[in-house]
Order: sequence, then structure tokens, then C-alpha cells
Amino acid sequence: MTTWRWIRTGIVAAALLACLVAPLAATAGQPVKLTLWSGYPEMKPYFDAAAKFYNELHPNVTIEVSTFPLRDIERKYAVSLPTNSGPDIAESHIYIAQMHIENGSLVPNPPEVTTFLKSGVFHPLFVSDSSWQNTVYGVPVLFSLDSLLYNTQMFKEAGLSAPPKNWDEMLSMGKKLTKYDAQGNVTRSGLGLRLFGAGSGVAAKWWYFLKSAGGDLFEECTPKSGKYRAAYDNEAGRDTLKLYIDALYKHKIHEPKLKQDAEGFANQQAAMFVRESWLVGYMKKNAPAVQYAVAPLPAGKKTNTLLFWTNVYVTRSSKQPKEAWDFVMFMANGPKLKELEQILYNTVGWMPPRNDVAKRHPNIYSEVPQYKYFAEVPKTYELYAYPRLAVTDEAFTKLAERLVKAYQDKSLLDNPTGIAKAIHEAAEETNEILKENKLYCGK
Amino acid sequence: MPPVSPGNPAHPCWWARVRSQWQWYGPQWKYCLAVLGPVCLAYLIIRIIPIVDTAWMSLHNWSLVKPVRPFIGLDNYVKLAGDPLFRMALYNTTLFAVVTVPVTLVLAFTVAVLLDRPMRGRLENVYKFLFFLPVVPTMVPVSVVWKWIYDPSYGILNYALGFLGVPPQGWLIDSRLAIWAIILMTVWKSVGYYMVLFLVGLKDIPVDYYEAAGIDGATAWQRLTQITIPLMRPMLLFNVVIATIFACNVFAQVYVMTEGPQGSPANPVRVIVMDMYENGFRYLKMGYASAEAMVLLLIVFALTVFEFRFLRPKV
Repeated sequence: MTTWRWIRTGIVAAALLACLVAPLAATAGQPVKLTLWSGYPEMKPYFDAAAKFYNELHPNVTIEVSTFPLRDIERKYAVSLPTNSGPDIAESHIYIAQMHIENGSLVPNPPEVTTFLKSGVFHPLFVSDSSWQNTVYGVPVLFSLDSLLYNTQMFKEAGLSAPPKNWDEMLSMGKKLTKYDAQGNVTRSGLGLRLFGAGSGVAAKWWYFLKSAGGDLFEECTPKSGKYRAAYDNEAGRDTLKLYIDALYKHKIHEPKLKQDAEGFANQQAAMFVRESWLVGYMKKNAPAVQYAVAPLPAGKKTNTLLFWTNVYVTRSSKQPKEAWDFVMFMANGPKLKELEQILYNTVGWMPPRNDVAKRHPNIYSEVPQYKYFAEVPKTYELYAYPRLAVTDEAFTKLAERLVKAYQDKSLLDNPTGIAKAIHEAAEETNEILKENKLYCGK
Repeated sequence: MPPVSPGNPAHPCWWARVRSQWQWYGPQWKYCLAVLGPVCLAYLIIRIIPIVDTAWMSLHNWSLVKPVRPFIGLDNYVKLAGDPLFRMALYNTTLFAVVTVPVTLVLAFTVAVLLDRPMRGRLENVYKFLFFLPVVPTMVPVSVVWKWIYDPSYGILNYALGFLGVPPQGWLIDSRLAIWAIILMTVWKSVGYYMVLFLVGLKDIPVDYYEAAGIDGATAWQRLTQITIPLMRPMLLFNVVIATIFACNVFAQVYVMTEGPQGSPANPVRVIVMDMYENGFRYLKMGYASAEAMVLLLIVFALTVFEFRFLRPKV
């Protein structure tokens, strides 16, 4: 009888155990497919490698990585995330992500992820600017400071030994670096400027200089009021537009017909220009022979630079949020962290966002010296991030179109009234956008 | 003849009359329903319902990402009337249509007339092929290629013009030139399409008419104006209507040519569909973009009615 009781108890215990373990075992073995979208096509090798490494540890989990041009993915997120048809994991810049955070399409970080983010592994700005209503969203995946790239060969030819430290030096060096043909046409820009193209890019590049001049796109009227106004209808805004107009028409150090942006720098049609560290990967791939170095942004009235980064978010669309978060944390703090960071440095060009990266890559600045000023903030420099209002993109895009028009207007040269008018009208439009979204506080 | 006329007192009820006609014409009705029903249903689903839906959205403050979409009546339309970007888009679309439609059709008609005759060694087929070739690839790759052609530094157009002593032009970056550059590319791409349609129309004109006119001593110009053009009116009407609709809906080439740092500034080439796309998918204002879509629909509808009224063949 006693034996029988033992057997019976054993059977019941085994059945209970089976009931508990079976679902876990089934889940562990069940194939899980996650999707990840990124708006930075150059990041594909990184995400592919992360997916491969993760799959080696979790053979039942496959991650499908899709990358799209930035403008395209913004639209894809806009139509897919609110309808729960988006990816499990979305990579995005914070100012695009903000609207999706506000409508609940991107889910808050689980407590353990937030604890990890706040553990000091990341720069505090990453965490504070990824927070909304005291909740942290997303995990940083790449970063860079905005810095000045300059062609060292051209500097040498022009007899220049060091990069410019301020706007005056930037213009005077720009003049020395510019090349002209017999008719006086610019054949090489001393300073590459972004003057054209649809979208927000033109204004975003102008904004770096605006920040140096002491202005901004928006300013909060009173702290934590949640109400804003345009912050460039002032001396800073006028100075920044004047900088561009003078560069184009007075000093003639940039030619719009030459290639712009990265392409212009890679084609050696520009001696200097401002961008982020992805240029390292781009130059390695497209213009390996070009000799260039990187320096902090030339200072205006303020000495500052942009801290640019993107986060990976788990979306509300995800049917497997647990696995999605696990993969996000695998990228941020997994056993293959060093290998993944190596891919960023060697192939992509964007930089790993963790503070302790030097421990794992002590020789990176000697191997690729360009990374130094994309990563290290000079002591005198103040850091700032992109504005994170949901209307930022619209404000930037509409400002960009006004700037494009202004850049083509030669009559703005030595015309402070014309410049003030152009800036005032642009700022009025920005204020209108704020008003429309009930974010405006008045002048 | 149906057995019952509408006024037949034997069947005063309309339903009875319908039933009676159904019985009489039954097989024909059923055939019509079977053939037209699916088409009408498909048309209803993919055309009518989305249009009604768009009209409904245009009356709301409809954000793509916000769950609350309040009804705002005609506010979007009122705002459109005062929107300088919409006015700019309307102007550019009008300019685009006013130039591309006549230029394309005149060129296509001229080419069709010139090629509608046998040439030595069947050379006319080679020409037809060459003119039709640009129609084959879709607009996006063609626009990418033309973006390169227009490149101020490396573009073949500036290179070729250089031989004529013309200095390099910023075809896409110069605000005054950008829209014309896009018009030129569109005309180049479309001529072959309308040429083929005109050729089909020309083939339908009996040769006897030309022979008779020749015997009467009509000149080539007289044959063109007195025989060809009048008999081509239905085809002309079709082509004008189609070309106008295409011109009003221009988008892909503008989108591609404004994209990226080497692209054209957007405002000088802003067209209505581009503005609609920006408002809908960039600023996520679907209600506002829907109002623009409704305005565009009305414009295209009005133009089509106008064209039908003035160009339809006089019987």
C-alpha cells in the first residue's frame, strides 16, 4: 500500500512537472521570427551580424533585417506602426520616434532595460533624451558627434597646418582652399555646404551653425511648460544665414554646381564639410585614397556640437516582445558585444554608443584617428541633441525650403534687412506649425 | 418588344413592370449582370469607395498617427485656399500640364504622321522602335538616369552643350530651370506612347480618301488638315484626356529628382501630388492631404468634361 502510494505520488508529481515544463520546452523549441527595420542602410552588416550571432545562441529565433533610405522608412513607420503592421524592432532617430512614442506605437523599456541604461554605461544625454513622461524608450545603437572633416592634402597644398577653430578662421581658410578656373568659376569648394535637395537635410545642416551662433529651432518659453516658439528670429539666425550668403557670394568659397555633401567631399570637390562618423565607412568604401582628418566644429558665439544617435525600439506590433527585447539587449550588452562593435568601426562608420568602449577597443584611435573627434567631446564643448517635438521634421523641412530660396538670392549679400526679412518669415512659419499643433506659447 | 408598355394599366405597379421585363429580357439581363457585375464591383471597391473615404477623411483633422480624428467640416479646404505651398503646387502643376500636353501631343502626332508611310528597308519600324523605347522602362529608373544627365558636374547634357560654348547649367538646382528640366524629360519619355496611339488611329483612315484627294489635286497640307486631323478627332480627344490626367498626376519624376543632397530644391518643382504626399506621409496630415486629393479630382474631372465638350467629334 505504501509502495503504491509512493508510486501514485510520483506519477502526480511527474505529471505536474510535465505540465510546467512542457510549455517552456515548446516555446524554447518553437521557431520565432523577428523583423527589424532600419533607416540607415549602412547599418545592415551590423544588424545582419547581430542576427547571425543571436541565432547561433538561439537557433529557433531568426531575425529578418530590412534597411531602407531614411526618408522612406519614416513613411513606412508612419503607415505601419499605428496599424500594428510594423516590425518587431524599429531603429529610429528620436525626433522621428517621438510621435510614435506619444501614440503608443513604441513600447516603454522593461524595468531591467532601463536599469541597464541608467547604470552609467551610456552618456546621460542618451537616457534623458530618450525619456518621455519619466519613462525611457529604446536602447542606443549608434552615435556620433557632428564634426568638421577636412582634406589634409588640400590643407597641406594651401599651406595650412591646422583646422579652423572658429567661423572667421573657417571662412579665411575656406578662401585659401577654394580653387577657381580662368573665368573665376569655383572648381573646388573651400567649404562644402548643403544647399539643395528636398527634405529636412538642408535645414538640419544650417541648424548646426545656428546652434554655434547661439540660436535654436525651438525654445521652450518657460521650463517644462510644454509650449515653444521659434528661436532663430534673432541675431543668431541672421548671422547664420549671413554666414552662408557670405560664403557663397562674398568669399565665393562654395559652388552650388559642384557635388554637395559626402559625395562632394569624396570626389575632392570640397576641402571641408560638417558631418557625422558614418563618413569614415563611406570614405573607406568610396574614396579610400582621399586623405582627411576630423576636428571639432568651428565655434561661433558658442562652442558646441550635436550628439547624434539612434535607438532601437520594440514596437507594439511585436507578437514576441520578450524575444525582441532579448535581442535588443543582446546587441547592447551581449556576449558578442566586442565583435559587433568591431563591425561598426571597421565596416559601418557609425560608432558604438557605450562609454566603456575603449576597454574593448583600446587602439581604435591609433588605427582610425578620424574617430577621435567623432567620439570625444573637447572639454570646452557643450553637447546638444536634436529637438524632440513631434513637429520637428515638418519645421525643419519647411525651413529648408525657405533656406534653399534664400541661398539662391544674391540680393541678400550685404543686405541685413533682406536677411532679417527672410529669417523672420521662416520663423513665422515655424511658429504657425507650433500653433497648429497647440505647442505655441507666443512671442 | 416587351409584352407590357410602361403605361399598361394591366400592370400598374412598377415592380410588376420590372418583373415582366426581367422575364422577357431575362437571359440578356443575366448576361449583362454576369459580365458587368464583377467589373462594376471591382470599380466600386478600388475606385468609388476610396474616393468617398478620401472625401470623408478630408472633413476631419485626420493624423496618420493620432487615434483621435475630430470632424472639422470644410476647415481643410479653407486652409488650402490660403496655403502658399498648395498655390505653388497648383501653379507648377498647371504649368507642367499646359506645356507637356500640347508639346508631347504635337510631337507625337508629327512623328506618327511621318512614320505612317513605308520607308526604304522598312526603316519606319526602326524609328518606331527608337521612339517607343523610352516608354518601356518605368518612370523611376528613367528619372534616375536623367538626374545623372542633368548633373552639373558630370552630366552629359552640360558636356554636350559645352561644345556649343554654353556654360554648365545647374539644370536641377537652379530654381528657374528645374521645372523645365522635368518637363523636357517627361516629354521625351511620353512622345513614343502617344505616337503609337496616333499610329493606330492613322491606320484606320481609309487610303481611298487620300487617293481621291490626290486625284482632286489636294496638297499634303490640305490632306492633313481636311482628312487626317478631322478623322483623328476621337483619337486626339482620347490622347488629350489621358495626357491631361497624367500631367495633373505627375509625381514620380519630381520625387526622384528632388531626392537627396544632389536633388532639386522641392518648392520650385512642387506639384500637387508631391504636396499631397508630403502632407500625408511626411507631416502625417491625412485629412489635409485628402482635401488636396479631392481638389485635384475636381480639377481633373472639370478638365476632362471641358475636353470632351470641345474636342469630341462633331457628327
